This record gives sequence, C-alpha cells and structure tokens, in this order.
Amino acid sequence: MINAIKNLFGNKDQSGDVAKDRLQLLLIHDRMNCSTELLEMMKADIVAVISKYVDIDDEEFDIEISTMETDETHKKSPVLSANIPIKNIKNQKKK
Amino acid sequence: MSQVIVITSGKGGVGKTTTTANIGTALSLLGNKVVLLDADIGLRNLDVVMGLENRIVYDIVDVVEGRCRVKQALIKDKRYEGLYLMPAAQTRDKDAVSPEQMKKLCEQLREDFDYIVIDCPAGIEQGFKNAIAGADRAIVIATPEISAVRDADRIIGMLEAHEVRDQALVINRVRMNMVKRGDMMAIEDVVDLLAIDLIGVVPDDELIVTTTNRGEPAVSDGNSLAGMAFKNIASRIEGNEVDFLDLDKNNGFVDKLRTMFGFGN
Amino acid sequence: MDLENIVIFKGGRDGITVILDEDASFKDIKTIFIQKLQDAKSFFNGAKVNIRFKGKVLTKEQQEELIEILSGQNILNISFIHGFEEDQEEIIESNAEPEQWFSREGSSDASMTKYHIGMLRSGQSIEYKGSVVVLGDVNPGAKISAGGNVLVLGSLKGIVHAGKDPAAHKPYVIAIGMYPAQIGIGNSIARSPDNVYLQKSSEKDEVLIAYLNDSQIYIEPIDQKTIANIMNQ
Repeated sequence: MINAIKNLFGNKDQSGDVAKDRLQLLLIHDRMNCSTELLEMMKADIVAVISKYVDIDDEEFDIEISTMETDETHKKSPVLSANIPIKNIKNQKKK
Repeated sequence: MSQVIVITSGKGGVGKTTTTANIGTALSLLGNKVVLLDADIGLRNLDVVMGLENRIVYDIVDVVEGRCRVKQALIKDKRYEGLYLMPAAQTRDKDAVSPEQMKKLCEQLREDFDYIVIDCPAGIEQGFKNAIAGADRAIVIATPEISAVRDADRIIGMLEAHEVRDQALVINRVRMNMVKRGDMMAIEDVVDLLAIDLIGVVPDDELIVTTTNRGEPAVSDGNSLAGMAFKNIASRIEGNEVDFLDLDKNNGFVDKLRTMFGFGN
Repeated sequence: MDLENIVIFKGGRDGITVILDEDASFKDIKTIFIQKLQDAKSFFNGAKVNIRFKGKVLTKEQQEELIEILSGQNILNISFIHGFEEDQEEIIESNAEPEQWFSREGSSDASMTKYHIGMLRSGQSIEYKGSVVVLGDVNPGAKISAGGNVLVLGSLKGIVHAGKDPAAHKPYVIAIGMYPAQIGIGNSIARSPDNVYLQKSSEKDEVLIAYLNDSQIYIEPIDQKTIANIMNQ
C-alpha cells in the first residue's frame, strides 16, 4: 500500500533507493574484495573449465555473490553461488 | 604539457572526493584526457562517486607492486570521452604506495593524459605525503567552517614545506542565506585568512547528494548550481577567466516573494 | 706577527665561523678579511651560508662595516659572538625561509632578533630566545614564543608569548590587527574573549601594542603617548 502511494507520487526511482541498492551490492563485494568485473572474469574461467566436460547454456549461466546465514553461528557470511544449466553431458569418447 | 593536480583539505568530509570527480569530469568535457587517481588507499570512494565500482579488477597498489600494467588498472568511463579512473586498493593501508612510487606513477601517467587529478586522503600523515608527492599544484578544499578553515591553513603550510607551492582554494558548500545572516564565515574572510588564490566557490546543493546516489557527477546535471561551479573551476584550471557565480540568484521562490513584498532578510 | 692569521675562516656544521684576533687593529682585520673573502669568492658563489664572528669585540659601526662587505655575497645569517658567550651554541632552527639575526650592543639573548618572512600558518611555530619579527600574518593555530619582543607586520590571530626571558626589559607585542587567541607577556597570560576565526580583519586595522603594567596586559594604539607611558613606567 505504502509502495502504491509512493508510486502514485512518482517516488519510484528515488535516488536514495538507488543509493541503498548500490551500497548493498558494494558492501558484499567489498567484504569479499571482489568486483562485478572480477566476477565476470571468474565466470569466463569457470565456463572454460566446465565446457571441457559438459555442454552448458552460456546465456543462462548466472554467478553471484550474496550473503547466507551459516547453520552453526547464525552469522551472515558471503557465498559465491553459480547457476549453471547443463544442456547435455558430453559423450566420453573412450574407445 | 600535462598537469598533476592534487585535491586536498586536511579535514575529512568537506567534499574532496566529490570535487575530484566533478573537476575531473568537467576537464574531460572540455576535451582533455583526464585520469582520476584515488590515493585514499583503504577507504576508496572515488569509484562509487563515479559509479564505476562494478568495474574494478586491478588497483593502484597492483600497479606499483607490479601485478599489472598501468593500462590494465585504468577504468574507462564510457559516459565521458577521455575520462579514466585508477581506483585505490580497498584492503591495504595508507603506506602501500610510497612517495617515490607515486612520483613514478604520475610520470608514467603524464605520457598519456593532459590532467592527472588525485583524490588525497584526509589527515596530514603518511597517506597525505604519499598523495602529494608527484603533484604540480594543489587545490585545497575548505567549507566555511572554523574547523575546515583551520585544517586548510595547516595543509597549506605543509604543502609549502613539501614544495607544492602552486595552490588554489575552493570554498565548498557555501550557504548564501547563512552567510547573509552572519551565521557562516564570509568568502572574503576565508580567503583573507588563508591568503591563497581563490579558484572556485561551490554552493551547498542538494542535487550533489542525489547525483552521487546515482553515481553520476553533478556536472552532468544541467540544473545543478554546484555542477556549474565545478565546470567554472575546470575552465579556470585551463587558464580561462570566468566570473564567479552569483550565488544570491539561488534564492528560492519564497525568498523571491519575500523580496517582492519587501521582507528583507 | 703574521697578519694572515688575524682573521681565520673556519667551516662548521651550520656555517662559517670567522675568528678575529683579539689584539689586532680593526683596520688590519678589515684588510685581511676583504683579501680572504676575495680568495674564497668561488666558495661563496651562489651558496647561502651562515656566518658568525668570534674573538675581537667590535663596535656597532665596525660590525656594520663587515656586514657591508658581506652584503655582496649570498650570506644567510650574520651574527657576532663575543667573550664569554663564545661557547654558547646558538640553536639555529632549520627553516626554509631566509632569516637574519644581528646582535646589538650588550648582546644579551633577549636582544637578538629572528626574522620570519611570510605567513605563519596553523601548526607552525617559532621559538626563539631573542625577539621575533614576522613579515606576514600569524594565523589561528600558529604559535610564537620569544624571549624578547614580538612584532607582527600583519594580523596576529595565533598564540603569542613575549618576554619569556626574565632579563627582557619591558617586553611588548606589536601587531597590525591584534586578535591573538592567547597572549602572554612575561608571566601574565590573557585570552581573547572572542572566537578568532570570526574576527574580521579590516582595512582599518590599527597598529596596536600590548605591554605589561603591574602584571596586567594592556593593549593600546601605538602612539607617542603610549610609548612614553610604557617607557616611564
């Protein structure tokens, strides 16, 4: 409801919200000392390695850093998660 | 002939990083090849203010320690022709780059750029000394507050001691209505006390906050009075004579009404 | 007696000491001095050095004659050290600004003067046993501490203490625009009631003198009457 009102008054793209979003991402990356560009480079490397064994969908490949609560300590810590859709496993050509 | 300009203030929070971003961008808009160099190692921020934080792979410490070439650490700002950023390292401390390394880096950058604009860390310790080591001239930022002016005075003395004698003053975040009421130090008083050339007066402008939130320099916003002031500073750096902005014009609608009906301040 | 040896140039850590023979006449000293200076011309060329004289006590006129001779060279400091003070080493502060000091007759510490050319900014300080003259403003946060008098040819907004040497005779502070954050003369200290940063230095700034009368610091415009009052205390 509040959001609806906000939208009504044209508050959708408030710069404060932009700042918050940017900052969230920034802090996660800072804690890991890792930027989007670095992530892209990691992605390229991972694709290269995995492609040797399986056919993957480059377009849908998604890699990101987020935070996750650990089971034991209940502290939030950064995790690197990759979502790699596999098209088909390459036939092992051993004969 | 390229120029190495260090933006410094002594006191923190007076707008060094914003000034670096805006003057650098404005210089590039005037057709120069500019690199913004973040020397605030351990507390890098110039990247966020410029909205380039996603693109950092290598930083200044990687360059001086030989892990990458200068060109690899330069991030090209795709929005502005000829504008580049060399980010600070976030995980190291202030003395990760020595004055000699800084001088060498500035010399290397001179070959490719017209202006090297350095964002200096606050304080007067080693980080400051490292940042100014390669500079031809300094732009000292002060807000019209006692603490900022005092620190600026200290910094000017230290710059002289380190042989950076070409100094210019930017007075930032001036609120004309407060100055008029006598609640803020007047421009002349600050200039009189610090006794260095005034190169710019930047009004306090809310648009600075909103543009920074979006990672855009204020000079890109045609409505921003502060952005206009920064453009004028860039033009003066280029050696042009530009009149100072009439900050009184910034009066709001209510002020104008007041004046109309004769309620003076 | 070998005339050569009545003037001896001795190089030291912080300059050159010229030892003048106690028994030689000033005329001979002057002749040899000029001669030796000629010989050493290439040495002095373009270099800034401190020169101090030791040995024979010279009159003021004679000292000035020697200074006159030296004035063609690039000499940074000239001082005359006599008699029992000979072994007292002057501490010359390392300071990029050119400075000069002369002693006057009597030559007590408080009568030596240090000149500082340029502004004194926040965080900078001058400490000197004699008097201090600053050609420029003294900004808030700067500090001057002098055994003798302090003269500021500019506006004084920093901390100043004059007459730290108990032997100083009627010490005073003079400034064009007197707004010291704190002023001390002898054992008395006064503080400015106002915030120094909000003091507007204006064109109308008066030349004021601060002096001590009965352990109280007085600040008054400098004119004949005031000076007479101070001297007749």
